[in-house]
Amino acid sequence: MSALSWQAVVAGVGGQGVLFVSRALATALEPKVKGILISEVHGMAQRGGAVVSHLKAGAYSGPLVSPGSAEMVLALDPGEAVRNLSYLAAGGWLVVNAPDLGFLSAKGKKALASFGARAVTVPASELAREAGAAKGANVVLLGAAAAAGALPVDPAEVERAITQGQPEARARANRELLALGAGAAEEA
Amino acid sequence: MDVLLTPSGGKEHLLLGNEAIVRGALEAGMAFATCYPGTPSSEVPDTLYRLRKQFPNKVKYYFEYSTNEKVALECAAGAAASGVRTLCTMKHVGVNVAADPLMTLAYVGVRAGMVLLTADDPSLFSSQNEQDNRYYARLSGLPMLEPCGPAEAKEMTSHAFDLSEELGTPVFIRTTTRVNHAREAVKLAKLGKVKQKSKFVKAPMQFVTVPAVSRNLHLRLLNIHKQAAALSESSPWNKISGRGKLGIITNGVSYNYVADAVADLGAKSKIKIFKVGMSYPLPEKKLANFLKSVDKVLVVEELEPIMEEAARAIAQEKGIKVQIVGKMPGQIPAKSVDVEIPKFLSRAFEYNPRLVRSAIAKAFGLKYKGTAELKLTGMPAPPGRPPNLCPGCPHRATYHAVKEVMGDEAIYPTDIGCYTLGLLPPIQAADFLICMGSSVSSAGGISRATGQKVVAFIGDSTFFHSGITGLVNAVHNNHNFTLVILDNGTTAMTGHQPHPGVNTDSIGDITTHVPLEPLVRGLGVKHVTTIKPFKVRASKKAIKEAVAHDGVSVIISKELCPLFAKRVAPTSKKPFYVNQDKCKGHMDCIKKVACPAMFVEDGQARINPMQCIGCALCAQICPENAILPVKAKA
Repeated sequence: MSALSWQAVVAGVGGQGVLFVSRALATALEPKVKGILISEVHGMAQRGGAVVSHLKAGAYSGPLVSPGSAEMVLALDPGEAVRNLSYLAAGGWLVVNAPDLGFLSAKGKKALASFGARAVTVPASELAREAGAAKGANVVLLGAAAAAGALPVDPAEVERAITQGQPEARARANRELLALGAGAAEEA
Repeated sequence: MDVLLTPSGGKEHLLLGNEAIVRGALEAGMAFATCYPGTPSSEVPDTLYRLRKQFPNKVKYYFEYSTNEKVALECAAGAAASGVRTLCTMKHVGVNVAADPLMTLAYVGVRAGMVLLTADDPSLFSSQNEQDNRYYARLSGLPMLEPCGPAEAKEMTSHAFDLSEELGTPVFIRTTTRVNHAREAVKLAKLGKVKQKSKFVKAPMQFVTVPAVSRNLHLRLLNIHKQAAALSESSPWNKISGRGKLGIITNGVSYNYVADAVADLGAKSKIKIFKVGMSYPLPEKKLANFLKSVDKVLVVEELEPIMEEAARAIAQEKGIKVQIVGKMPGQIPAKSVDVEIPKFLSRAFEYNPRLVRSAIAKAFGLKYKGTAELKLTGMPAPPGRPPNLCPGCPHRATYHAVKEVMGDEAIYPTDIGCYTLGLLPPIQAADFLICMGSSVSSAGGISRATGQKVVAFIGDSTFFHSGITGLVNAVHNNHNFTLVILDNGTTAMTGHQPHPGVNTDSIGDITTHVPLEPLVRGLGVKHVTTIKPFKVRASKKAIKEAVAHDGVSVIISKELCPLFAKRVAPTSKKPFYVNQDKCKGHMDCIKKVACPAMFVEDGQARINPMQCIGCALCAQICPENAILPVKAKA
């Protein structure tokens, strides 16, 4: 096992599949790291509220990420990206379900650039809807993150994690959503 | 097969804290489990329920969702006194409901291992308060174990059954949200043998607590406490790591933050950590030796300064000259954690890695270079996202009808469940709430004391939990108010658990359904009406009649939770749309019900067809009849 140490924050709104993404990331990372910790949000917040999940891979004890420490902030909603930006580490990846970084304002974009952050923006909800899988924006965005190199594992590992144990039809649909995200990420 | 039922041990699995507690109980051969669900404890009973349902031939335990926590604990006490290993789970405030049986169960004890899970909720993610249930160990005299994460939660749960049997007394497992809802690799051990049935052996001098018996039982409890205190001294859960002349005493999830912080600060050779896992009784001798071995001690514990006070008392008693710092005498955060995360160790709100790191650095004069943080000035503020009733939620329709009839003048005591969200505009039908069941009883108090019109709201599960006795009181004492029971056929807020009012045939459970209306009539309520809330005009008429009734009246508003209905009774209702030619922009739909499926565009209301489930509430409110089902679109 390598001494990989990687922290991420996955954010969105109740019902968007935030927990699915963080669990899939954990499954993808599991063969490569010594320990994985996830912090989840359940209960009241799931009723349309902000949902966030912290993921820490490596030799950590506590399940919460500190501000300035996340190698990736993946947000299924631009507003939730803003709410969780303080977790981003210098030079980290911001992966957002949005057509571009317009939601940040000019000042915000500048701050992000001078922080050395790399951004991937994909209109994942739109792409998922066009593909007839309105609830699959989370998988599209994960596909984009993997293809852009925002994750410490190969896209194939992500595909394995997402499709593992699923019936073939469902697995195929998810592979297509991952590919949609990958395609969009490369174009961005 | 589910990993939680793997018979053999050895393998590691990524488990949620609550799943790990289930596995720990199964490894200990648990035979009986009761609960009332409540965040952050709910996935423990939900997992037990799911496993029994999916693998009826594999699981060997009895499980029930009990009516409330007092009932759950009493039922569990009966099983444990009969000699089967028993688990009872609840959230922190649930222990208040169960406090009466708890205090005397501590006197009589158990004949087989019994574990009581209290899941605390610092920062109030899903609770009405953030009380520290470590006090319950002190109040009852029962031992308490506090895991720091899922892996330890499994080990401790399993061990707690043995400890309980050794001492002949129930044992607490106390978790916090960050333990219940963390996920980590957990190494499984073998599944335990289950003793499913036993025989109740009569022993009234132990189990019938008349004063003459209880005087002896109190001495029994004190002797057990003494025995437990000795076990705490050698407990593997109370461990010291590291070296140095600086010390930290910590417990639960705070231990993890401390361990990471000491590494971040490069202070592993300077700081010793005392991790308290068996937190009651505290290992006082071991703590005294620890205090003697260092120059300065920082106590890091969320909520109340319990270990800090204990450390000060030990130091005083033993004459140990050590400086003890923590949260006493104590600063109070100026603002709620929603607005600003506290920057010091306070008695309010959960801790986090950064806070603990800076507290350690400050206490011991250590430097932390820190990580760069993105400057957020000039960026747009993130949107406020208060939780909202779902699109098509029947509570919205009931609230709308009541507000149309009663306006803002009536007083609206409310209760605990999704419908508490009726607090928010535009509904604003929530004026008083303190605990499960308080709607009914406080309604009597408010109407008696003021003579104002009072309409109280309570959910069906909460009514069974603790609304019934309040309603009997109201009938008996001739109170004057209307109670609306929001009957959505499930316990929606905590994840759709069944309750006595639910007909569970459709989900294949063998339980007996207790229908609400005959129950309410049986309690002596003279004016009882059942309404279908999505029939707006008929609902308003029924509410008018109910509030005009002199005395206690009850409206049962019956409509399945749409999220639950999707699972058990799917319908094929079409979404609605706003006909733009007909809409004159009154905005009644937006102003009065604020369904999340609606938005405003070009001065007109619009409906997101992805979110609308076709409840037709807004269509009945629109003065222009401009809201129509999609199928009617030409």
